[in-house]
Amino acid sequence: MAGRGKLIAVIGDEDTCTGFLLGGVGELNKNRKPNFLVVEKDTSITEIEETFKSFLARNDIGIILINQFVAEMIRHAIDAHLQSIPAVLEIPSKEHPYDASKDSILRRARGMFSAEDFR
Amino acid sequence: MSPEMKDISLRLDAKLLQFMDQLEDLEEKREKINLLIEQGWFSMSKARYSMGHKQVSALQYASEMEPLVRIHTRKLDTGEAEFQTERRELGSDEVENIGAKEEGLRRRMNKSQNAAKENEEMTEEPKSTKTRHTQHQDPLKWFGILVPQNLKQAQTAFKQGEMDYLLLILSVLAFREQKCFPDRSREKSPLLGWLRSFTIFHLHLRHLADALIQSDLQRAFKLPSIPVH
Repeated sequence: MAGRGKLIAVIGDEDTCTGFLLGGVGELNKNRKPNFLVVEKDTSITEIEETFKSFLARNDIGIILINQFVAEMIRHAIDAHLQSIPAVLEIPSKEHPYDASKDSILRRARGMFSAEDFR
Repeated sequence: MSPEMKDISLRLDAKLLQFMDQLEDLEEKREKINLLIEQGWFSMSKARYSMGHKQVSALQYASEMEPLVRIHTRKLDTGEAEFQTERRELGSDEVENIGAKEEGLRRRMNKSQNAAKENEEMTEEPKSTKTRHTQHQDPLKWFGILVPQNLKQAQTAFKQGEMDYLLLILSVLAFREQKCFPDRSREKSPLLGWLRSFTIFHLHLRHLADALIQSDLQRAFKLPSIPVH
């Protein structure tokens, strides 16, 4: 296929990032900007939101994997993103199990079947 | 029921079935992924236990990273997006040399020879670091050369997880596009265009309501069936 492929970005806790970087998704570009963000206890919500928006703006990113508890912090930003590329996928984290009722995609799907959830 | 309406209903039914299939697929894959990631974390924790608790952390990430996985995205005419993965495998011949690079016996040199050699090495050094940076390194090596088997297992689990995620996205996206039918303007008939711009549920509700009203009326007043347009 023509052209260079896109990247997978990760926003999550240390273990999630380490795991996916072990799998080989990590990149540091020429400006030394990484395609991942390790969310620590002292990482501010503004920082997470800015990173998320910068990932959306980058055209070399195709998928953004984000821990569900981090996604909860910036829910408004995730809900505002309606395009299919880059795709935002919520994944569980070590401390927080996956809750399908919070997932933005499943919430949208449910919205198709009930009037009060419909947006 | 007019043939146009019948056609719409059939198409809506097909869409609804497709939607349900995708939802089921999505759930199934999610479960598989979550399991894989859990496995990965468990292996990572085990590795950390044997290496020391500060060993597998963000501080050890390499200063140079090259992605080994890339994805190719393509939007289809149907509004669905297609994803393809490309994984660059590290060649097995890329064995890193560790330890002394000189072969054979080392000869003792006198002082002047030694100084000359040192100078030579100094000039050569930048070249060798450059070549090292261009070649891709297995992320496993960031955490040490002889890493526990558990860390390798974690890597395999996450690699597998990535691949499955990409497959998952395929269904996710197809599914997202169905929320509103985007090609409203393409419809020739205004009725069809209007109907298509609605979500599946609302239409089905309408059909259901129509059918209920019809049967209720029939029962209450014992009327012949009323054609619905």
